[in-house]
Amino acid sequence: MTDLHDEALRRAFDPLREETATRDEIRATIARRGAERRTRRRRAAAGVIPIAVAVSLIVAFAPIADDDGARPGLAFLPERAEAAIAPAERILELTIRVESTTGTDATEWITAREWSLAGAGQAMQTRRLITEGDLDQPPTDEDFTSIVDRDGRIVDGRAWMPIGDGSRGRIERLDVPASPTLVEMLRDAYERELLRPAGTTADGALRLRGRLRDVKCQRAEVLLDPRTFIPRRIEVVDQLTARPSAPCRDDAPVHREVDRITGARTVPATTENRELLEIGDWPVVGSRLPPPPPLDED
Amino acid sequence: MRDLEERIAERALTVGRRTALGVLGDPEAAADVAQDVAVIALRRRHRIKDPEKLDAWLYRVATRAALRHARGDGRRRRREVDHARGRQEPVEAASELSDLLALLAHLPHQQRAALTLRYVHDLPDAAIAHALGCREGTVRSLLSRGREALRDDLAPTYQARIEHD
Repeated sequence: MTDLHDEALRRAFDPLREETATRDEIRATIARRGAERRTRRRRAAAGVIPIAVAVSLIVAFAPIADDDGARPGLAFLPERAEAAIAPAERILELTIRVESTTGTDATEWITAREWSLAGAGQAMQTRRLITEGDLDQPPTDEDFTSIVDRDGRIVDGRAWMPIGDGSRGRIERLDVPASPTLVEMLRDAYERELLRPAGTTADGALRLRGRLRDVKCQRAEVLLDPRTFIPRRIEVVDQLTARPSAPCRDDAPVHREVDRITGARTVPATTENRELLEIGDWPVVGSRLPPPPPLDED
Repeated sequence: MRDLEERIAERALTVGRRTALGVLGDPEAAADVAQDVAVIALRRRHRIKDPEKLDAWLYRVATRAALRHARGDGRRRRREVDHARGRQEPVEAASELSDLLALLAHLPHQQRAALTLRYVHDLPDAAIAHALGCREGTVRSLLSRGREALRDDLAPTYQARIEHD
């Protein structure tokens, strides 16, 4: 009787086995994930990086026009901002405090540090360290590096991922595109004119508004240091719609992320400094991968 | 590369939906839980060291998400999502599915979870215990009580089977 009862139970539960995800649900989920910063995304259209580097060279020497003699002018602001985060022959290091809230979930805090070096029209080398702890300790989340060619293809990608209690990790080859760094997203947004000048704040910061990525139902605000054009604060709010095609609604639940730049510096791209672009010297279990290829700068 | 993300999302949504539907009995709530599970899976994809262990991880996450939802903090979120989505037509469930959900409706959520993990995902006691975060003895107790509770409801089914055989 027990076997029969078991069989009857299996038959009764059969309708649940037939429940599968639809294409729309898969797309909606990936879109929702896309609303979060640490998501996978294909790189911007081919040619973004070379253009960005060229722009950086042009606007770096362009005079700053003042609107009223007191504040920096907003002419060429996106170009100046782009140049600031793509300095030629220098590695940009940003330390970021990230505050992230989805719907009514508790706010999550992480710290990230990013390094980036633009190749001379050929490639982009980046490293990002994400942790809930100290930046000089093995990260709780990940430490990854990547070299991406001008077509957005990963030339080399690897990540240190914590295992066990997190005191050690394993270095793995990245077989999927890594999340774009903040610098990569900003450069893409500036280049594609997704962000436009929107005046200044009371304390003189330069404001840009628009979107950080080319998606619907997003609003972003970027505040720049008026002297360096390096971002100080970035706020991105994505509405969590049920489907990507659903209309935007002001009363929809949102994912909100605020990035506060707590440290910024550039260093010359010397051989020694380029070690900053490699995974940290964290304890590793298992064999190391071969060293990454050099950044193509020819 | 896109395929990998889609495969993770698809598997997570499917496991999440089946598990949450069994536990909650509400297709819309199950869809919400499934999407939460899938987003977590995508967020943690780098931490999924062994793809063969993905399912075991998903069973655990989906079960706990569904039980958490059942406890109430999910209901609040769902009301807000429903409000944001506006009025939607209720999901039309197939009759056999409706029958099953009606059968399960009067069982405690823990029992529903154990039964779903056993009879939908075919998990052994140890795997169910891992998913529920309890001892195997507790799983056996949950399954036993769940089976017993459904015995009368399902009796006509296996009585017909006996007569057919």
